[in-house]
Amino acid sequence: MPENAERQHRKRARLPPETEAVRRTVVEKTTGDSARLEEGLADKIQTVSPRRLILRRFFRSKLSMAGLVMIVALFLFSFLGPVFSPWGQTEVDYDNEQGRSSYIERKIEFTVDGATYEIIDVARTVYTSNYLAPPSAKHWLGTDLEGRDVLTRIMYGGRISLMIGFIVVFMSMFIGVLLGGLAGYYGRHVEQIVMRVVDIFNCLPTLPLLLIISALLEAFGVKGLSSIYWLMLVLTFFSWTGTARLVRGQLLSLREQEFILAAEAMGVPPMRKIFRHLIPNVIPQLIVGMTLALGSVILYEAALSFLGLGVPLPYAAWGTMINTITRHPEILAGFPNVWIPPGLCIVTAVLAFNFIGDGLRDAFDPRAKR
Amino acid sequence: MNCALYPALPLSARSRKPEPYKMLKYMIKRILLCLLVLLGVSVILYILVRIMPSNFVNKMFDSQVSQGQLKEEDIQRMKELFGIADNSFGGILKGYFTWLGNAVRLNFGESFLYTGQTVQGVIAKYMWISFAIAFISMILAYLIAIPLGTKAAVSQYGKLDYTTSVLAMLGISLPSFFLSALLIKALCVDTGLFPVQGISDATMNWDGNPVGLFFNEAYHLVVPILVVVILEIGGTLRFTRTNTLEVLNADYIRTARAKGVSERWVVYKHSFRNTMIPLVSSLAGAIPAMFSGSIIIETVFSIPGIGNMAYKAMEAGDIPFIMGYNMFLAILTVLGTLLADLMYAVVDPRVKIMR
Repeated sequence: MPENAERQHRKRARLPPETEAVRRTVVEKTTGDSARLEEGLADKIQTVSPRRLILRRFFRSKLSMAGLVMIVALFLFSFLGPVFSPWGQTEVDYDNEQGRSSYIERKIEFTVDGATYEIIDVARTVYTSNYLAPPSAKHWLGTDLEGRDVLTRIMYGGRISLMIGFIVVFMSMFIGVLLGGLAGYYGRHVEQIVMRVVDIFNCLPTLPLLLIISALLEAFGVKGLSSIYWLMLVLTFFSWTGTARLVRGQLLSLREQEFILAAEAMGVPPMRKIFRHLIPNVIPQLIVGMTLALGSVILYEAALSFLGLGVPLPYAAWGTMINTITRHPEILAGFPNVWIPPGLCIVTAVLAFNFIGDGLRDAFDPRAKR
Repeated sequence: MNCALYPALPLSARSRKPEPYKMLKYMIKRILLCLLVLLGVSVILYILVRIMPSNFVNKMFDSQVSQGQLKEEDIQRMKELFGIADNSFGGILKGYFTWLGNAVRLNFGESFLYTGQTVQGVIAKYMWISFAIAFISMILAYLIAIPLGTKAAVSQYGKLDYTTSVLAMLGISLPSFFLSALLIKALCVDTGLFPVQGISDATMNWDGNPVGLFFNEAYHLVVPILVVVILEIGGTLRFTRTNTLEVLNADYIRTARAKGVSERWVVYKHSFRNTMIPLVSSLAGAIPAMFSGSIIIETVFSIPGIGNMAYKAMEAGDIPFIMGYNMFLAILTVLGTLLADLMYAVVDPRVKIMR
């Protein structure tokens, strides 16, 4: 069949480009050459799996590609960046090249034999660290209040923030799928109990409670790295309800379908039915929900760190780095190189996850036009 | 994390019983469930607040104890006075039921930090400033977002659509504290157009000058309101866009186009009124939340709103106020979902109550 005719036929049949397999068959049939059809089918038919269709739709969208590029860049920046940086996360630059110092004057008065002497005692403090240095070749984004390299800290902060985001989202998805799956499949009392717990969690004011719990952890003497682990647990505790609600809602309609009836007839045990037959059908929505949740977890962690209750100070987190402006207004006014870059990183990360999540939702939706 | 208690009202084609009766029954059931949820919330909150080892009394008087002005017995007596001495399981249980008994009579006790004032008094006094900020910014955000969202949906995948989508996403992705800091730097510190903090100029005497005070307060609130508007536009815009797209795909829109109605009329009459259904119900659901205040924005701008007061109370370990404020928030959330669902039934005549 000549190339031109095939193209014309495509046009006439108005076949969408995705249904490759169907189109080929139609083309072969219309030529009427049954012998060619039989030998041609095996090597000519290209089946396009739904997964490839989804990927194709995803990669076609400009915004989701932009999101993907942003996330990959952020990952490379924060996980590979520190390898190339001469500075460490908590390393202080002790080279006081600016030669800054301060004077403290004290007046001392004393009386000897009726005469009053006045001595002015001057103490000079030479600062040992290169704090709040402007951006230079040595420190690309300058140094912070303690003399630590801002750029390097942003990289380490990215590690912590992204890691917290991913771990929290995975853990909360695990809990949400488990409880939502049980509630959606069994219904009745199980559903009542799980859904009332979900309702209670939805009514708990998130930020105030996170503040209370952070204060609680501080009071119990949780410090350093372990407080980051606790932070992850607490954030998980507050973010599983969305997944549970989603899974339960989907399962309510899925469990009435024929394939579950078939599974029932075959004597598949309930747990297998839930996690092998039902949950895989919810995975598209779960992936979209997880991607969007990543953004919101990063925002919550940043807000907590900004209030000084998230990632504790020797460690870097984007929110913690911005936190300095609450105690030092002069940094807000005069040293934007200290707090604007970490803020831009938060925006970039959240924006990228939102773009990807949105693109995935459109790609998974079979009704989507593009 | 504020979703409806129920996904949506179930639809039913026919109902045999008269509508008001069903509505009443449904409402009673919903309210009883809400009360159950609130009870659960209060239990979790009370336990969390009480297991804090360093409490209000310790924080207030520890320095005096170390200086020898107060003895341990005094501290113990003070704790008993505040009702937080017994930290055993039984003590917390007893404390909870005392609190609950008072709370159902709408008495949330006296604040530790704001001495001499009841918790409900403090909340009632400071929530209006938070409400004013939220209300004004909500109106502004809706005025900007609804026309833009509709326009974006009409020209789907057009230039305007892409621009507004990206900007809306940016608004959703901005952390409130970072946006506040940026605007403070740009509008208050660098250019000096607006005051950095506070609600009114403390150096001036506003007695007998209510008009001047009002304008001064409005002047102080410009930047915070701007922050909230920017943060809110994104969500509303996307919501409007999605709804409009959904409505534009409906059969009655095709019918309207088929009978030759002009495109303008289709979009702004046939489609727009249906787009408003979810918008109105979400707006109704957002009204209670307007009283809750924003901890971060009010703290950053030092506005004496309810969120700022709550933040200070939380730092001090003021148990009655923390309980009262968080229960207030929980009640607002419950009210919001209830209102949103009710408005759905009021605005959309197709929605009938089944259960």
